[in-house]
Amino acid sequence: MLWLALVLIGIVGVVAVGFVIWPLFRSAPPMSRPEGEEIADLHTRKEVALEAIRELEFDHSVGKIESADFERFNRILRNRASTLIAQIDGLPDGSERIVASKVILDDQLEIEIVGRRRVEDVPPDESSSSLREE
Amino acid sequence: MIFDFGYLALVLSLVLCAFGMAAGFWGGQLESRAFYPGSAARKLGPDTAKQFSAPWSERLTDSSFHSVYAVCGLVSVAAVILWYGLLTDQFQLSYIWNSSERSLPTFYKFAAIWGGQAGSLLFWTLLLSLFSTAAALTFRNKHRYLMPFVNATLLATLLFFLTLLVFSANPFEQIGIVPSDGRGLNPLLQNYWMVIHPVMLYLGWVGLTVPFAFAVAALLSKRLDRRWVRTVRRWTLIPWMFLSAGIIMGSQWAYMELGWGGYWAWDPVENASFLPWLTATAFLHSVIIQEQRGILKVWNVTLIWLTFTLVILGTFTTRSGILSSVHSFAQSPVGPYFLVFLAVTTVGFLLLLYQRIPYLQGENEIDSISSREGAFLANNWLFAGIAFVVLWGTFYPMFSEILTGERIAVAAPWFNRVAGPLFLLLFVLMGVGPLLGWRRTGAKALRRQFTWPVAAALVSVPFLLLTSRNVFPVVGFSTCIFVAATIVQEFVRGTIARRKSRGELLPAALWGLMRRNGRRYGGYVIHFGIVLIGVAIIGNEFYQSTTHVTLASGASVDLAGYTLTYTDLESERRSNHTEIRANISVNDSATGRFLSEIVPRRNIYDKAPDQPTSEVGLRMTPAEDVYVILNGWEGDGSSATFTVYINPLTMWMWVGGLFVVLGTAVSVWPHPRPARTPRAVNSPFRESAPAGQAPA
Repeated sequence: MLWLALVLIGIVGVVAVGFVIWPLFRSAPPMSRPEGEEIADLHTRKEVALEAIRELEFDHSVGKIESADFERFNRILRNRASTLIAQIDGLPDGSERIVASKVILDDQLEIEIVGRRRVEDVPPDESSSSLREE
Repeated sequence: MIFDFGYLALVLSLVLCAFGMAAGFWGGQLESRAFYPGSAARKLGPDTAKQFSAPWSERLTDSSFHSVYAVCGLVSVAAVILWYGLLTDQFQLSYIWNSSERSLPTFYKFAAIWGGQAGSLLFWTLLLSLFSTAAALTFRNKHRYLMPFVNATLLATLLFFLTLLVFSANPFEQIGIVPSDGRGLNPLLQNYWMVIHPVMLYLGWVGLTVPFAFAVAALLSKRLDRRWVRTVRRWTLIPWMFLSAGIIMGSQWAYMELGWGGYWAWDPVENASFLPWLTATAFLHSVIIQEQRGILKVWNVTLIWLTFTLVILGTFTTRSGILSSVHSFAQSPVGPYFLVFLAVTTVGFLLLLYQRIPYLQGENEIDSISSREGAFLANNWLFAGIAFVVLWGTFYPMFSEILTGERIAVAAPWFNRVAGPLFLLLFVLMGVGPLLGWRRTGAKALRRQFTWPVAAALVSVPFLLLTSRNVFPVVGFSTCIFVAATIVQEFVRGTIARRKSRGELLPAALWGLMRRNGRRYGGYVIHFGIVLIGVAIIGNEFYQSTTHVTLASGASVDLAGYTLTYTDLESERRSNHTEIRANISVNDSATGRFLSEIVPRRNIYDKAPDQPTSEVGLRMTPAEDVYVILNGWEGDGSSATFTVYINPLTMWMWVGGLFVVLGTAVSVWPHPRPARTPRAVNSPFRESAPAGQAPA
């Protein structure tokens, strides 16, 4: 009966090997390029900075951070988030490339922060986030 | 024939695994070389780079994905064939002959796959292939720089286990004849906790390979930004939850089945599961610091490597017999394989880490010790210290035998004495950490945060002194009260702050708080579970009462406020064993009120009559357990010998375990995330608010 097992595994083997090496013989699908990775990295850093601002505000509201420290850290984090937003806006994505003014950046930052404060008021829109698995 | 096919499926998966691993590493290398800044291909321009190698890197990467799926399919087929053999009593297989018998209940036949060496290695391989496939499917179109290396690392680990199965521990090995019956499953494993407990442990151990693979991939690809850290956190938390549940279930099994009155004996096998839990827990804390502050990068990759190494080391020690006798190691066929794998991964990882040190520089510094990151850092030192102590104590008998020729065992009191104070400090930090904010917490804030929890702990001290003059349980319990008070305070203050800012009702505010801050409050729920486990440990360690007694039928014994009366002995025939049961009634000593009937048992298995197992008689209440072991009896049951324990607060260990699982579920549950806002080049006002209005 060993021969039957060999025949069967031979058939399975041909299918499995074919499945594994098949991608080597076809044209590869388009994949994200380094620029896309860079944007994703900047978005992650921005998300982290905005989340840190939200946590800082929360810690301040429950009395863990004194007001003077809060002002200082908030300023640092906001500057960092603004810089990241500016970097994201400065990267080419095929659309018009315009360097955002400081005023517009500050407005955008406010929108982002308010969005995080109120996020549970609206249904989560995971589809627009490439970081939803994180 | 079908079992030959099962073996050949493993051989085929080994070949595909080797190919997929090579494809992954090669594809990842080509990708990095082609596009990493400064590389030769990059200097030639993106078009040239793409023409040279990008298509091949993509094809090789895709091939590594396909290898993961194919290996998973083939290993699943092999596992199903072995399960078929177990359920249909195919005793011509050596593994099944050694691990099963005709009269074994069906669910134990199913569980017998992890009851022996070869089967459990196949089960491990199956779980790893499933985890690898889950990771590959989840990140199929993301992290394209990391994924070839992730696939390659996972396949390299699978390759090791498949090598063991094919060359050293073949579960499909046949013995040439067909015996009429098997030798039976180890009696100690015939317990309902053993059906689920090993699965939980394996899910924990195996799952921790995924974060290790991401760490290796980040190092190899030099993509050491925060993305891999954010990604692996959830992939570490889920195996950590399984590992925690597995450890608790293992304790429950030891408590119910081993019959020595306790749940944890610092046995090498127990320590093997506890060591990676310690380092994984440290990683889960320190990875938050890296995510928030961009520091501790070297420490984090080291921790995740240590966790993986301890998983493999634990598997090695429990399978090679190295800790029961140094000499049995040479007789174990799988031991040398594990040693080689451990050496290769350790040397390879450390070399890689050394090369990547320049990419792992911290982005910030810790501003103040009185900050959450300061507390987390101290907690990491303690976790590392405890892990070192446990590792040292576990391997000390081996070292002593090698160095002096005399085997000196390290028993539970040594572990308790050395690790106990470290655990106490860890508990203190578990209370302190959440009270501190990131970066710096000033003196006023410290006073505001600490007043109530410290007051609660101090107020409890006089009451605790009434229960014991021993200072250790008093300090231990008051620390638990301090930690519990910090958790309650966190929930109360968070809910009130949210209620004030949003005008919600209290339940809605609490729900919103948990939903929006799942990671933080899930962590607090886990901490609460750990506090309950701490309470149970202190109760057992310092307040346990015990007696050893022989009772004639109708006679009683008094212990710690209970009167236990031995009534009679009876036996009952089961499918593969005989149960000997002693009936004992439990009454309140002071009032004489009947409380319950408990039935300690001994099971005498047909296939192992000289290895009777003990099933304890138990009355469990929130205050204490009445725990009785049947040690022996006169032939007719006219008298029997018992060991009786009164174990205070033990129930809270299992409740605490449930809190740990619940808290982890809260932490990993996806919480609402804001939608990406449009880029600044498109006016935020135009996109996000009606014309003429400022955004809310």
